[in-house]
Amino acid sequence: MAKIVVACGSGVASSEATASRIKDFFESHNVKGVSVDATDFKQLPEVLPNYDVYVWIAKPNQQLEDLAKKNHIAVVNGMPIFMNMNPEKSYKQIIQALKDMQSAGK
Amino acid sequence: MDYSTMIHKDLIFLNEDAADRKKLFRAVAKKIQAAGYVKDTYEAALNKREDAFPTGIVFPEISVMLPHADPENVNRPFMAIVKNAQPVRVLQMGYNKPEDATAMFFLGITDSSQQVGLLQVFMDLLQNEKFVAKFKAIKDPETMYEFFVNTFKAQAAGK
Repeated sequence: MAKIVVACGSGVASSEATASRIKDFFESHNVKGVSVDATDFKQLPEVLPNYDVYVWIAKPNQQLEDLAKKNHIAVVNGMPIFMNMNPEKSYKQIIQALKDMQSAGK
Repeated sequence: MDYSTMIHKDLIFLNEDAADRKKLFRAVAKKIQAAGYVKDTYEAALNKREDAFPTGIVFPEISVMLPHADPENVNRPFMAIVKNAQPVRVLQMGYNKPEDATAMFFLGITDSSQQVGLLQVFMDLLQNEKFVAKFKAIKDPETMYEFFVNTFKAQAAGK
């Protein structure tokens, strides 16, 4: 199962709202077998290696960028999804990352 | 979900005139605390959160900010509606780039699973030209209260 994590500063507001939008998007596009979690910056360094795609709402710091790179986790700008303003590009990046995983046989 | 219950008559401040963000937070936090919605840790928590993770958002029609503190600082859920006479320099969520805002919506979130839907509804409203034009035009707190309550009730009924 592919795993996506959405992270904001506190994990209570914007990451939850964005995760819910991504879930709705998958549902309406009949994408199955993908889990979407929301978390905060405190938890993120610890849990990030468990995920395949990292959607950011708060700007990732260097530590997180490096961690994502090291673990081959796709990093996607979640702000357009959160705002619901031209979110297509971000959705495309998420779908592409999931496709890449599939072809890599993960 | 009907978010109109998060709008409170005593949390609409349309005549603020703070010189900067910290002064605005001080003025607004004091009133929200006096009305009993937050704990005395609220103002410090608000500043800490905003410094680490800014909440400004730029939409085509309006630049806003959505300051919020972690749930442990909040007693009761709310969305305080604030207009500041002079633009306040803040940073944008996600991008950390500067933005000048005169409209602020202070979110009091106690239970994320109950209240995150508000953010989704509200993001869409801030891109609705009619909603933004009306918000900008309203100067009277009573009218603003009615406007928000009716808008959220209509949203809830439509879903």
